[in-house]
Amino acid sequence: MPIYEETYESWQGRPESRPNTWWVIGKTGSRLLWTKGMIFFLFLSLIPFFVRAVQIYIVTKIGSNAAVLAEAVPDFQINPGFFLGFLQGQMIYLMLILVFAGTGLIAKDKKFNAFSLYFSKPVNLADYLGGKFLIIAVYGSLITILPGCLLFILRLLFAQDSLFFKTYYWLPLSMLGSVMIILICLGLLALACSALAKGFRSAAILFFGIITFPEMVRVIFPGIRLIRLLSIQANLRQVTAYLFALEKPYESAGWLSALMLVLTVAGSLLILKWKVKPVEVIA
Amino acid sequence: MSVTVENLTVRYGRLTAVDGLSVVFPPGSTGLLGPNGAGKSSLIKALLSLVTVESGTAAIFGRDVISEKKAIRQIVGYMPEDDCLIPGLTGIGMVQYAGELCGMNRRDAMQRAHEVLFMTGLEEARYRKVETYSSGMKQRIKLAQAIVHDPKLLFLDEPTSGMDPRGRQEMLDLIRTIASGGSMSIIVATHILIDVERTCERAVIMHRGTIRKQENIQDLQGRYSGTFSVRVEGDRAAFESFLKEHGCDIIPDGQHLIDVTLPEGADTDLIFTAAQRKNALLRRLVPSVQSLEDVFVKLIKEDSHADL
Repeated sequence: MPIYEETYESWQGRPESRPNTWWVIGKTGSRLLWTKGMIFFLFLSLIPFFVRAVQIYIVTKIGSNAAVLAEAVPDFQINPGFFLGFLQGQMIYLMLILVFAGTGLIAKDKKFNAFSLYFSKPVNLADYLGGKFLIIAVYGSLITILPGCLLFILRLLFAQDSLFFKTYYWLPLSMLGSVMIILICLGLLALACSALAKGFRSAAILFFGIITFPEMVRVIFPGIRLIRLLSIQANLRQVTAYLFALEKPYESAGWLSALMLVLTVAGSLLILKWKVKPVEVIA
Repeated sequence: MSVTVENLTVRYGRLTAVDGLSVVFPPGSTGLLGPNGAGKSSLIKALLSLVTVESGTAAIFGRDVISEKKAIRQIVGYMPEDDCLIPGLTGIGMVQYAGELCGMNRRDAMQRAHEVLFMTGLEEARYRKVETYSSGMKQRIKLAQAIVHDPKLLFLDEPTSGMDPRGRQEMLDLIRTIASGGSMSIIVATHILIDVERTCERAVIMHRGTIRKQENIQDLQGRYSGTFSVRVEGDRAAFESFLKEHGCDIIPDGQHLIDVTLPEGADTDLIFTAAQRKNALLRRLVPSVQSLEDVFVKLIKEDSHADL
């Protein structure tokens, strides 16, 4: 058994001159979530992907009968609506990740006074928030854009001709843009709720309330335009439909929904700047 | 110089925590002493740019603390006063994470984390979640994360806070061990004087956001060597008033003893004269051994008199 001398020894190595601390925060946080059962969520979220993959296989393999089937069952068509539908379906898994994991990212650091540890290292506010957002972006992408692009590739592989690619070559970009908008809006909102609340549970409830309450009211009173504008989910549907060159799901102007999403992002950033501070000063 | 501060002011709303403070911390170990609310923690936080500096400048190893804060934080270690942890991580994970945040690669950070956890006595608990650590272990892990990247300057804010006597002694030994290495300058902010006496070469005494004294500990203790512990029988009140009239400072020390500090240039003849003139019988006259605590109390008392 080795015997060590209990003394202080200097480190002989050299640190990076400008460490990418946001990457370290994101990487460590992602790994930590992975060990906490995130893999279960990921497997669960792959179920719709397999269903859609089977759908693509059936539609592309029945050949000339596909048109008849598509006419009888409109949802069987493989078009931009199919991919948007898939992304919107994945929103439920994204919401679960944000409610159960995203809202704890800052709240737990607050609870354990971790800010003074982070900010005494070469970490500034942008690095810290960038790292936390990276965690959301990693898991968010794994259940949305990654399977979405795989479905697109499967459609190309199963197809007998290149017509689909020639017609819809822009679909991966639309999916990427939509996912970015969804992740930025919901991710930053989850982080803002996490910074605002006093604990993980209250942050989760706050986020869930902000996302679901206006949507519930919108469903009950579909005619009130103002309520529709307050629903983040409705605004996301409106904007992503535009990116997929589809008809708007609601009558209101698309730019109004985009403006509401921009305001959501700006508000979330303001809250984060206000609440995430190295030291809580009580004057 | 390790740290140079000029006219630094930090305010929290209407409260002035650091008031136009100027000080120089040379290399080595320095104790930043002061009662609660003296501004010690605020000074350290200002040096790390954790709080907003209202006016003045400060530099660490010649680098401005505001414009070069990222570079400074890479060469400085900080052990905060409050209980603080990065939740969800094991002890080894947290220290490794701290190393990576300071620019160490993953492998080096892991190897170094093992070394510093061994040194701080946490080798047995390194694979436990940090949330399950006791108060003493939390203090040790805070120290470990502060030294993992081998900083040139280490700030320790109340390092023995909340520790039992044995743990406290071990923490002081650790600080002494780190300081004796010679490669790292240390600034220990505390209100516990004995901690500074045991670990530091110099002491800087702060009160109400300003510096009151800054000297080597031995010099600081020697400065007040003109103090004598005196016991008299007879008219003690007249004896004391005679000495006060001749510029002595008198502090009662228990029921029978008084500490008499002679004015500059005076010697013990003055005490004998007082006893003779006021018919008091001198039963004891010995040089008072000044601890840092005596010096500290005296300085704070002087400060209060000046305010009046």
